[in-house]
Amino acid sequence: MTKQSLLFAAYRWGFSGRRRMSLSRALLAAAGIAAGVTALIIVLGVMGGLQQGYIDSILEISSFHLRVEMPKEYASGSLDAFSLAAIRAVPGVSSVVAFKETHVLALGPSGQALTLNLRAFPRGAERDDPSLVRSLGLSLSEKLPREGFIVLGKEAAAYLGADKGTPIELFGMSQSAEEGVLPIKKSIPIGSVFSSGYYEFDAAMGFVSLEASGDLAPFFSTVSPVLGIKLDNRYSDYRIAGAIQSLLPEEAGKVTSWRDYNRSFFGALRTEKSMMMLLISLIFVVVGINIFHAMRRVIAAKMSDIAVLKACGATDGDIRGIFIVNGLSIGLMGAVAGIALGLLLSSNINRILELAAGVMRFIASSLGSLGLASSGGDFKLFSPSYYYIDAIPVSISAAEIIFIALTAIASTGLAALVAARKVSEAKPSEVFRNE
Amino acid sequence: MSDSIISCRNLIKNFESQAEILHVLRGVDLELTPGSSCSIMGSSGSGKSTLLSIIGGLEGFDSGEVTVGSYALHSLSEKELPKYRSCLVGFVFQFHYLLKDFSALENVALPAYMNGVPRKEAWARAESLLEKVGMAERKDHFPTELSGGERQRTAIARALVNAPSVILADEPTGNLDADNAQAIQELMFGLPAISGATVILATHDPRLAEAADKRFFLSEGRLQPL
Repeated sequence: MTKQSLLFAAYRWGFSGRRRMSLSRALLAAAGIAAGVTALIIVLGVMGGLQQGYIDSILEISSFHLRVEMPKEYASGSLDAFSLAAIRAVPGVSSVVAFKETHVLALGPSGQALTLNLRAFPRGAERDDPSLVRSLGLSLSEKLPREGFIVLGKEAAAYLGADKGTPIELFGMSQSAEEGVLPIKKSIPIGSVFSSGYYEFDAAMGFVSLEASGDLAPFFSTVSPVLGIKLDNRYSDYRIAGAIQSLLPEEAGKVTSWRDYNRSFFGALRTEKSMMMLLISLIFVVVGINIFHAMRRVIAAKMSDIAVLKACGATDGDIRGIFIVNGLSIGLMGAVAGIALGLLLSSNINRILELAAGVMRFIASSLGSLGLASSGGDFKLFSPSYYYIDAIPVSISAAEIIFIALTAIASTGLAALVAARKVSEAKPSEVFRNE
Repeated sequence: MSDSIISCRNLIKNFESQAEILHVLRGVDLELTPGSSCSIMGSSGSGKSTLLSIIGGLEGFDSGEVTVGSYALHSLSEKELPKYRSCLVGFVFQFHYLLKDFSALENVALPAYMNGVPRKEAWARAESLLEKVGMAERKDHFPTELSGGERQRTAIARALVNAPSVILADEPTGNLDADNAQAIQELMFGLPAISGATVILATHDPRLAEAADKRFFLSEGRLQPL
């Protein structure tokens, strides 16, 4: 049987047969696949968007793309001694800042205390690392750090009952060879309040000036300075790490990539996404089983047709090919429709949710005007009272879409392949004799 | 012997069931020359269809030798049989067995298309054959829209589309009224005569059997000349 005649027979049996059932059956099966692909694209897109935003914030605000701990003795001198300019000149490096960080206890006017991750930057860090300022939701004209002030997260400020200009007290420990470990306490006013969009940072981070460490120096007495390096492409981390390492003094620590620094956390995110993908992919198993059973019924009903084709010279492999082509076609149709629908819905997901919220508001206000419910005119799907986000971010890669499509097509192809084994049961002489 | 298109020697075929062994063919001998016709009569279950299935490569046999054209079926592997069927044999069945999802034209063209004939040529060949069997007007109709006689004419056109050397017809008029049976009889012996194919038909119809060059009666698993 030639390929062309096989495709012709597959088209007739699968989609344009005399009995309209063949087309509706194929469309129904393709709709099942499309539903699975759509669901996977939306779920993975939203999950990816949330994860991507979180990862970006971690890299921009907290961990940098590359970081290296410098020897403690450099703390007293200028950090520029490490030839920051030379590191900035490495191709692929977008910014370099030196900073110190420690943990302190903060006490505000509310009488509440919380642990702060206190990070000290040198003057002009906002110029050296503008993406940090952007990620903190601060104006690019704003100075970071502000000498004599602390830039505090909005959740931390709210918890402490403080606002811009309000002083808060910082408690910590200093350590020296002469005096040993000593408790220290400093009061510092809030210069700015930042809102990164991520609660963990907004509730536990504060930025101060490294130059102002005349006042705050004891907090950082035992801390080594760290170089935070950002790259144009974060995936060129390992290559650039080697180049930077060669510029650093021997006493400097190893240049650590963001992938290693956050290995367990990012690994957990990846596992979470993989598990979600696996669970939703089960829909393909269900659809595949349905296709398998539908195809077995079709094959049983077409035993005499199969016998005739065999009498005309078709092999078992040819006939199996017809059904496999049908299965793959169903998978392909479902995948294409599912990708189109999935991308359409996920790219408009906020509008769709807003529409749903509008419908809810209308229903609530209608019920309210009838006296059946309290007014729900201010209903929001992501109320700031409960949620830290006001919109759903979506991010899905072409590789993920291709993987989803191939999985969908493979599931139908496999179902057809298994079902088509029944074809070899059609012995022409037996079929003709029994009929 | 060398000018035979079909040669069966001491052909034996048994069917085994749990209860018994059925000796259907107990040493069939048959020699047919190219372009000749032969009818086989016999009671139901006498083995007529089985003999046709064996010659058509649809059924195996226990012993003996069957040669059709250059193909020695007794030494042909399972993998070689589809090629043999597509090149050398055309089948006409009692119940036409047209593909329900294909039009009359497509039913006739498909075996040629499957056999590697380009689409245009296969369709042209089918159209020409349908015209010869008087089905030109009905070529785009589906089997369910055709009468029994029309279906059988279409099936005959399908059997001829690859210009086979042998046409095997199993009760081709068994399901038809007298007029249609007569028309099919004329086709069965008329068209192959033009194409040069050898015709073997199994039938209960004495009038149809009478029209063949050679006539046999299958009884007790052996062919008796009539």
